[in-house]
Amino acid sequence: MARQRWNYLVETGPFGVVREADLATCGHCNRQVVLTPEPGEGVICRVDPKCWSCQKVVCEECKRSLEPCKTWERRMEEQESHARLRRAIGV
Amino acid sequence: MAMWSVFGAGQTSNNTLLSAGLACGATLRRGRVFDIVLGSAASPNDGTFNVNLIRTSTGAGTSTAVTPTALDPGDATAATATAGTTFTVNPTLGVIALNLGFNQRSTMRWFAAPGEELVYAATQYAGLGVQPASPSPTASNIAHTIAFREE
Repeated sequence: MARQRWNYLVETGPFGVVREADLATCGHCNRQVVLTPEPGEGVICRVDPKCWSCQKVVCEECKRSLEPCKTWERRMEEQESHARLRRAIGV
Repeated sequence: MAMWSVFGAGQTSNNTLLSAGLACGATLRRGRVFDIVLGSAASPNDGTFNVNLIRTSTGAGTSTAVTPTALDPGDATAATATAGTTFTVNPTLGVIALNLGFNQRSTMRWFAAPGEELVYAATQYAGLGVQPASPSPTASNIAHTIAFREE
């Protein structure tokens, strides 16, 4: 299996790099999950293990939601499908 | 594959209104944001930026329009997405995709690994916005560059 590639965040100040972090994209809600959180950092959720169904990294909030696995791709397809339907019926 | 960027400096004076936004246009194409740079457009000063990268939907809102610029100057294709800065009326705001707190003297850069981008649906007005959240400095604008591609 290929090694997972992470997103990257870097803050550069007047004296160089202040902090840097790897991030993952939640497979269910597309949020960014900081993999190396620091105390007091603006972290909205921490990484949790992969979803056993889609094998993608998911955030704690999605993990806790107890909803069946629904990938972000699937959510967008539903959103686009609903929009097409609304346009078709003129709503 | 064509890629574009939008850039400018948007307000922080109101901690509700978006500083910058990018959304799907009337021609429906999914967008993938892969690079975001945020910093201060003001004189160096100590202050806090607390910025949400937030999802938007339903309505364009009111803003100063920004035309996406092709990253490859030889690319003649125009982006179908719409972009704006300094919103006076917000579109409908959704969930926060990323929260960033940083010093006004700093520059923050986020970029995505291939396949791990922030994606918005091919539904008109679906998109992403940069929202200053309290506390943020009242006098300095957020300079932003957002790079994206469409599929």
